[in-house]
Amino acid sequence: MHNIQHALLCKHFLTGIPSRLNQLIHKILSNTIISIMLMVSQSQALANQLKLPPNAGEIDATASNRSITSLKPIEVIGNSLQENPISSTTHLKGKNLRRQLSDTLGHTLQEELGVSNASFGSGVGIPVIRGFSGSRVRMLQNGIGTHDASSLSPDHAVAVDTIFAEEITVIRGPETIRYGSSAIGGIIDVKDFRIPDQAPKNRIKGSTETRYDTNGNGTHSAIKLNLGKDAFALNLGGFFRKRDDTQIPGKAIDEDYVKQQFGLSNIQNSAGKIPNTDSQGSGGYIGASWLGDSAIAGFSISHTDNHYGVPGGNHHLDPNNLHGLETILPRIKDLTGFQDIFGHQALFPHIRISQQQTRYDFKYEWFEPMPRVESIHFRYGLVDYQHTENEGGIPFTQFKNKVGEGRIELTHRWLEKGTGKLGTQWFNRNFSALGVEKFVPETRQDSFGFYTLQNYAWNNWVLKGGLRIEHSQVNPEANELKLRGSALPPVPLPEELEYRAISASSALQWNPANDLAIVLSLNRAKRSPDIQELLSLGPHLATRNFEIGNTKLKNETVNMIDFAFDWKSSHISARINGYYNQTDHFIYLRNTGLVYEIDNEVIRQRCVSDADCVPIYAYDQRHAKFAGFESKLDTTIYQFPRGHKVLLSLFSDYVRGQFTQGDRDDVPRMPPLRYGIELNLSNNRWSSTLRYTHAEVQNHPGLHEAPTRGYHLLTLSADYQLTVDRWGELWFFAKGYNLLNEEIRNSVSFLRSFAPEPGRSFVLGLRAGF
Amino acid sequence: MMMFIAQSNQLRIRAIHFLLRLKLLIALVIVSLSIHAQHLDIEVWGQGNALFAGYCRTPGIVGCDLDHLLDSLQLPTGSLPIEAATGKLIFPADFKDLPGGDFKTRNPGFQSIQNSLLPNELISYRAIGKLKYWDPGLSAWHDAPPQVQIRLFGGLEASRDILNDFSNCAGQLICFSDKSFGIDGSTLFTGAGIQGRKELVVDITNTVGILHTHLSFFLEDQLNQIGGPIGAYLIELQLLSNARFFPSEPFLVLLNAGLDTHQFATALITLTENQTNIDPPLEPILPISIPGDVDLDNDVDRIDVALILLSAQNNELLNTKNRAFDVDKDGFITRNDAFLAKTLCTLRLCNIPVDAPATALNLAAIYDHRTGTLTLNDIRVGDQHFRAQLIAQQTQTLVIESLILDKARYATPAQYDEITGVLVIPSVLIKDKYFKATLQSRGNNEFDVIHLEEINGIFN
Repeated sequence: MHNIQHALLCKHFLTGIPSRLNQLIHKILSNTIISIMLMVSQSQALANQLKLPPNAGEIDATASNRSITSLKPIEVIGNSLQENPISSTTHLKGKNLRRQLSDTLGHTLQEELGVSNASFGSGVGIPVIRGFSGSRVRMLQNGIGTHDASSLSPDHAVAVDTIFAEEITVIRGPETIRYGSSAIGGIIDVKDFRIPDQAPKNRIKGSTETRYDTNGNGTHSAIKLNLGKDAFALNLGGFFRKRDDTQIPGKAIDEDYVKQQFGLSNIQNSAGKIPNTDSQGSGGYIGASWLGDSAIAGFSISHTDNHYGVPGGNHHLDPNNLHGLETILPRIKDLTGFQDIFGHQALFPHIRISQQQTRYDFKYEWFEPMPRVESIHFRYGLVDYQHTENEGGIPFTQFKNKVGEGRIELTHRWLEKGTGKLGTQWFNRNFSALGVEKFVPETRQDSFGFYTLQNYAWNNWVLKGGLRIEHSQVNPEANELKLRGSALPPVPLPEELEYRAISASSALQWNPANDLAIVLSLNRAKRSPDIQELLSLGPHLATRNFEIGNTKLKNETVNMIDFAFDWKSSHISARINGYYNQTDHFIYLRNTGLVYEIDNEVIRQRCVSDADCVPIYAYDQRHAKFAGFESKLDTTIYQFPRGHKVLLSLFSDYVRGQFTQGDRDDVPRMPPLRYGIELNLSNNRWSSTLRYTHAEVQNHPGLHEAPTRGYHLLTLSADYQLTVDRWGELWFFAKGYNLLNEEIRNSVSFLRSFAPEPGRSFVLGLRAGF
Repeated sequence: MMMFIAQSNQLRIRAIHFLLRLKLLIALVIVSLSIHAQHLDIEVWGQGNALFAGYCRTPGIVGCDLDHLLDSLQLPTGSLPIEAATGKLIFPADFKDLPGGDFKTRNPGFQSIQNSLLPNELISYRAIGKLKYWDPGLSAWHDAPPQVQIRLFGGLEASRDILNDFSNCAGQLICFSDKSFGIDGSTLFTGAGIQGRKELVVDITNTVGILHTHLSFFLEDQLNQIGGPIGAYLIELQLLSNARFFPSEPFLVLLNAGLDTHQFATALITLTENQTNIDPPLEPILPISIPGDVDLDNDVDRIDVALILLSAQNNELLNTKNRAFDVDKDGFITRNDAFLAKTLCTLRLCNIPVDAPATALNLAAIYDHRTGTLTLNDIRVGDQHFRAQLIAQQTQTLVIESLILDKARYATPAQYDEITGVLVIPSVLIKDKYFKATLQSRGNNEFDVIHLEEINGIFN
């Protein structure tokens, strides 16, 4: 009965797959799952019969003390077969992760090489990898997409709470083979292991963490529990986060920019903080697993609420434009009883975003199901995401994204020196944006891909290759799209748009010495156009654009060559990545030369007041090239006798993007050249780090974009670990950020001229593990 | 006690902050008011096969206050901005108003009140004559010198310049014809005559014949650089409609470029002096709109509330022109009318923080589940409109209790098809939720509910 329920459950999830593949997948999956269940139940019965502990794969300390079995040391010889070239991948975990943790994913990862933070006020921080973000970087949660609306607009937060993260994986460069075409710029996978893959040794273990940020009076707390015994495990977690407006050293709005761009000298500005950047979030999850001898099956349910304000931008920049009210109100002497519609908040209302996400995740993992097959994995995530944008407390646009994404993957070792993966991955998406800012119609999107990744090791060489075939289709639910308030007749929409994308990757790794790896990677990855690139029509106030979709966009193709040098010796390690990326049919927004007047809702050739108008952009394609590097040198400069050591790090990264057709202008919103130095003094109990980063002026901001100034960023962090007998351990940490209190305007942020990065802040925290 | 003192101090500080903000706002707005004052919008209306253009007279609306304009320009008593020699109306505007800057302005605008034009009526302008220049040094009008010109950008929508078929736009959902760019897409007024496009679109009316739009006027030199000599400039336009044969009478737009009020008034008076036997300008007949809509734009918004408050403060007496201000129909314009208009206000940002309670006045259809009464405030049957109440008799069946002939009140009334007997209610409020309902007549004033579907009322 249990098996049938699971089979039915999976059948339900697969209803969105294209019909011709549906039956096949359903058959394979059903057979696989039933096989898993049968095998598992048989092995369970056998285990019971032999009275073996059901969780035999885990070494129990108490049991091992009683046991007289001794294990022989195993010597591993040969090259490790890593899935990704070593230096393009970062696994951030443990204390390093906790030291970098912040409220948003972008802020957490901004110190990583090749990664920048596209902030939109402190409530939003979207990671940018090598200058790519949005639809080009996949955000994953335990291997399945976050499926929020962050790819649609830079003011939409990533629906992941960082405090649960146990490990964050960053892969720079195309990773389309396993994760689909939207991973053309890389992936970020936040792993919190909410579906447990082990039971605690003493029935319960857990951790709790709380941190306080002086900037904005921010608090962020979480608790995680791992319960269970033998073959059953249960995970529980909850978090709460709250902060006030972000404090900054100077004024929020760059007045020189506004005067130059909009011709306005009398604007609403604030000093010392960015109004409407407070945020609050809460959420929790429950996950349960059955842990068999050779298989794991589990699920989790989670819910997250996130409420944050969006800084003003050019919205209500001009206090003299109140649609006519500005001429009537001064003549009224008594507004008693009408403050609710004529008060300051009513006249200049804040935009707030209320975001909710509920996820249902399922996992089956079957280890060694047959000879030379290491594992078969099944994962499925059902994401129900929505956010409502409120202006002055009144909802005006509601975005919904309901997505089911699944993956079945087989890992083999068919050859003695070769390993690989075969898999299929799909998703079905129902997207809608209803309300005033309805610039994308309700749309259904389906995607299905087969892929394989193969590795072969020979002496000190490793050859890797991957191939993916993907089919996707986009179906607008409406027949036509009406531009709100416009005299323009309804615009007809296509019935269905289909795309096929074949991506290939290869890498050759040479280890001339045990501590040295040289990797040459070649990637040809394709990305199908996203919904907003195809079907948007209307003003998009977050980006200050009017966007026009293009239904004839082709696949975007990245051709990347990446050279990596990685040397790790006992006292020094160095890594350098240099890459060149020729992107064919790069999808971008082309300026049409026309403008859209927001208040009158009309298209104009020129606008009298630039603050009232937004430029009209049309999605188009042009070849572009990107070149850059990431480099880091770590060295132990002094080792004290008692285990203390002093580490010195030097680091730098850079990327330059340029169109290779037309007027060869710069790709906008690229990060500047960064370089810096880090000094670390630590032993096994405490650590302290001083880090200085300098970012150069961004002189290549892109057409119609303003350059950004360089900045100096100084951070200092310290932590101390205290072990309490029997109970666990305590970890105290403190971090000072932007100690020089610099005004930092981030070139990758859409809102850089309206909302700078946070000023000086101190974070104090405590983490207890038990 | 300490907590109470702290709280009261906080409240006091908040109140002071609020008052400071309000004062700042009012100060800013007063500055803008004086600058906004010198312009008059163009009222457009149709009558039969002819189009008319006149002074905007909608009470209290920006750009419609002729009396205030005459006062601010200190024109002689009894005179109107009408060119004495030709009888053409003159619409003053200022290049230095705040929305634009020194040499560009969106004024004068073009307005029509509801039902004064047809739904989806396309209004265009036609440029006539030459650009005239008032030289403050000579105190005389003459043709503008060759180094200065005025460029007017027309509307693009609903014109042939925008294509909305992606198969003709290389995949783009909409695209723009080549004519949209450069000098061909604008009208150029020069001392030698009109160059560029002589006719361009102003705008198209909405479903109830309302139009309110502003075009873009730029003062520039021959190299298209913004700027020009101080003085006043005069251009001539007339309006055309795609639904009427006769265009409007030509009219003049007088643009101030840096003159003080006295100098500008002198330039105007030079045109208007010695008015004899000039007929008073025509005005459209003011329609009756929904309760609370005093600016006659077919909705109740914050401007309506502010206008009623201002009238109440000025103790204005009720007359035929401002009868819509008396929302509670007690014969006087009072603050109570403004409060009532606030509760009727349905637009975004009008009724914060609490949503206006649903009443029989501000909803086209509402069902009271306690009494079983369905109130339909607007039912369209052919060309006629009715108001009705139906009482639930049994499950799914309603009986007409009252039915009276009325006028059109709502943008989306219930529709009754006499042939099929089907009554479609686009949105009816039932227990705080909105539904789309379809009823089928079964004779004897009885209707069966045949379809009921919940809709998202917030966004309708």
